[in-house]
Parts: sequence; structure tokens; C-alpha cells
Amino acid sequence: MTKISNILLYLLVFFVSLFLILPIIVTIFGSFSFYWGTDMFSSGITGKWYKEVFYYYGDTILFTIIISLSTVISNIFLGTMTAFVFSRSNNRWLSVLEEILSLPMAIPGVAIALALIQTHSAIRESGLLILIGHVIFTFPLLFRTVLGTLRTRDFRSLDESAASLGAGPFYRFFYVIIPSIKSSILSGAIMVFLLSLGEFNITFFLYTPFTMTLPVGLYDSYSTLRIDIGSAFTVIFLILAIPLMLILHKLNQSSTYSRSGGV
Amino acid sequence: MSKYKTLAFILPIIIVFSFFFLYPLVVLVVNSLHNDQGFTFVNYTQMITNAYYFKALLNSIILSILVTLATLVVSGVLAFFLARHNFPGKSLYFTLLTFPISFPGVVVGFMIIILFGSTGLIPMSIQKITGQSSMVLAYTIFGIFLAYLYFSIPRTIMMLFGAIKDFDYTLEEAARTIGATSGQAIRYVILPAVMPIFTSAGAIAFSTSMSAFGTAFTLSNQFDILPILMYTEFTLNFNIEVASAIAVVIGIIVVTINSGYQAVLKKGGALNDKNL
Repeated sequence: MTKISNILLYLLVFFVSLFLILPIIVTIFGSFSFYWGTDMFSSGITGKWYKEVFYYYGDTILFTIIISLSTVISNIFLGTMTAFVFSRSNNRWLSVLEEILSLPMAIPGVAIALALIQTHSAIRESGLLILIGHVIFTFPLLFRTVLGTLRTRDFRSLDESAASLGAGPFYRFFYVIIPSIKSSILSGAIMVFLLSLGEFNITFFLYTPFTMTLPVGLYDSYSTLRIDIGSAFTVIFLILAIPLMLILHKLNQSSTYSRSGGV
Repeated sequence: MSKYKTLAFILPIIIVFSFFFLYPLVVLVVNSLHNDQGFTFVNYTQMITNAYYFKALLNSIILSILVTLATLVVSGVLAFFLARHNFPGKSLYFTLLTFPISFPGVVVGFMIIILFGSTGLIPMSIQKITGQSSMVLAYTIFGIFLAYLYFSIPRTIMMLFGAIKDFDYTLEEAARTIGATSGQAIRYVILPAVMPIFTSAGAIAFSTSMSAFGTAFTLSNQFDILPILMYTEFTLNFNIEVASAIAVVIGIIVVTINSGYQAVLKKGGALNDKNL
């Protein structure tokens, strides 16, 4: 009995691992194959698909990086400032506000997108609406991460001793608080960047042909059924995302990130 | 800190959220309560009365429940396996297993196309071995099911592993010493202890599946599930009111599940765990 169940256990572990990891490996190798079919690499190796990705989607990649970086910068300011206030007061209104500010994590992206497009379509052309959508959607990640760190008692006493020495709130914020929460701002910023980089559900409703982002471009390449260009483009996404994911693992924050939906 | 300085720090986010989050959501709800004749609940009632909408609602709920159950079983087994076995390369293996957490839905969909699509690995291998072209799973409802598993399993492993590895195994050993079988030890000692984290992981898997759009959309834009129906009503039928009602229904289901499980856990006194 135990022997059979052990074999079943190992088989399950094996097949689930294969299911999760194999397609990533196939995508990476396949993206270099000249011909995608039963005899992979029969016609040799090529970098052609990458050239085509940069030719068709170069602007898309650049635009995405600009959007994601702007989202990160906006949320570092907004999230840290807001978390600083929330860590210091236990006002009833603030706790209601905290719930509201955490809502974008719970509300489906498609609903946020549909709400934004009905109210602010005037600023859609410029791509500004995509940026705002990303800022709203990713705000809770950085805000909650920083707030979590700030709520530990050390920061409070640190802040209080600076205050007792006569430092004003703005001075304390920039010279006492910020330097001591650098690492949680860093992990929050990485999570915001990753989420913004891969955001599809909101962006898909807000983009125009001139404001396409990487995941929308990926969808575009998949839906034209070019599996070769699609896989090269996917590898480019992986090159951007995987190092950041590794840093999150190192910072022990990948489990926080795993709670964010958006697929 | 004075009132004004507090306000100066939080005013920017209050403005951004009011204009670009709360106001749009209010408009979404107001529009969902309208049709050509004015104020109405018909956009909501037809979710039940109209067979076409009801089917999508039912499909979404059943799909999400099945994905959640399968995910909890599979991820539970893997999390226990990882917590109890040490082998060389374990940390690398864990990292690889949890990479897909960073994938957007469209990439998850593509991974299923790579495995089960018409030029995918498995159909092509079967064709090579048997000489016959095999069935292509990727673009069917089973393909969506697999795709949802693909994004849920790594997230759930991550959440469960954190709790399971911290579990105090001396409790289990104590149960075994007084004569419990390994099955009984799992049933009566381990499961009650890890129940809260399973509940919250299940709730998150359910609500993620319920609101997933990109994953399913990559595989086919014609499945009868709520997020795709919302897209169809909005983009193809120009029916903004009905699309808004569908968006609100998805939102209500997801928010209810999320706050519901937290309330249940709070009642059981389990919410002090920071992992939840």
C-alpha cells in the first residue's frame, strides 16, 4: 500500500513538474529553430525570429518599459508617502481608506478596464490612461509591502526619537524613514514593475495601435498563429521578467507577489 | 503630525483614486442599471433568466470550482513533498516550479499551446509515434482548465509551502507514537493545522480563475465564460450596459469570496498568521 502510494506520489510530482517547466524549455529552444515542426532543428538554428520581433514589436517593447518604469516611479512616491501616514495613525477613517486603497487587488482587471474606458476615454489616445490604469492596479502591492515593514515597532520608535530631537515630518520622511525601508521599497518596486510589465486584462481594453504594450503584442503574435515569432517574443519577456523574479525570491517576497491575480 | 501635514501626504493618492478608480466604478454600476428605457435591473436578472448568459455564469463558476479543487490537491501534494524531502538542487527546482507566477495570462495560454496546440509538443509526438494526427486539446474547454491549473498551481504551492514547512512535525510524531497510522496522523493532526492556509489558498485560486481573462482569450475568444462574454458584449455587440453588469457580477463574486474567507478565518481565530 505505502509502496504504491509512494510511486503514485512520485509520478504526480514528476508530471506536474513536467507540465510547468517543459513548455518554458521548449519555448526557449524552439525560438532558435529555423523550422517549427516534428523535426525541430532539422533546418538549423536561426536568430531570424528575434530580428522579426524587434522589427515588428521594437516600439512596443520600448513603450512597455517606459510605462512600467513610470508606474514604478509614481507608485514609489504615492505608496511610500501614503504608507508613512498610515503607519502613524489608527484613525477609523484611515482604516476605511486602507481597505479602499487595497481594493484594486481584489477587483478584476476587466472590471477596472471597463470602468476606466467609460469615464476617461478622452485621454486614451495618448497612452496616459494605460499608465493611470497600471498605477491604480499595482498601487496596493508597494503600499502594503512598505506599510507592513513600517508597522513593525522599530520604525515607530526610530521616527519618534527623530521627532523628539526636533525633526519635522518632511525631514524625518526623507532622511530617517526612507533610508531604513529601502529594501521593502525595492521589493515593492520590483513587484510593481513585474505586474505592470505583464499586465494584459486592463491594457487590452485601453490600448490603441500606437500604445500597444508587450503582453498585447504577445497576444497579437500568438493570434496570428506564428508560433516561431511568438516563442521568440515570449523569450524576450522571460529575459525581462525572470531576473526580477529571482531577486524577489532572494528578498523572500515571491509569496507576496503570488497573491496578485491578473492572469 | 498635524492634520494638514497628514493631508499633504495622502492627498495625491486620494485624488488619483477618486478620479480614476472610485468615480469610474460608480459609473460602471450606474450604467449597468440602465437600458434604452432608463433605470432597470434587467441586465442583472437576465443573467439568470436568459439561457445564454446563465450558461456563461454557470460555466465560469463550475470551471473555477474544478480548478480550485484540482489545484488544492495537486499543490498540497507537491508542497508536502517539498517540505519533507531534501535533495540536491531543491532550491533551483522550487524556483523553476514557481517561475510561472510572473507570467501574464497570455503567456500561460501560450504555454498550453506549446504543449497541446496544433503544432504543440504532445500532439506532434503522438503523431510521430502513431502516424496518426491526434486530437488537439489546447483550444477546448479542457485546454482552458489546464491553463488555469498552470497559473494556479505555482501560486498555491508557494502559499502552502510557506505554511507546511513551518509545521511542527513533533506533533505528528507524537500521534504516530501513540499508534496513529500515517493516514490518521495526516487526517487528524496535520490537516486541521493547515486548514486555514488551504482555505485562503482555495479562495484566492477561485477568485483568480473567476476573473481570469487573458489566459482563456489567448486560447479562444469564443468560450462561454463571464470575462469573455463581457468582452464580446462590449467590443462586438456595443452593449455597454450589459457588459458593465457582467463586470459588476464578476466583481461581486470575487470580492464576496475574498472577504468571506477572511471573515470565516477571523471567526476561527486563525487570522493572526501573516501567511494568510
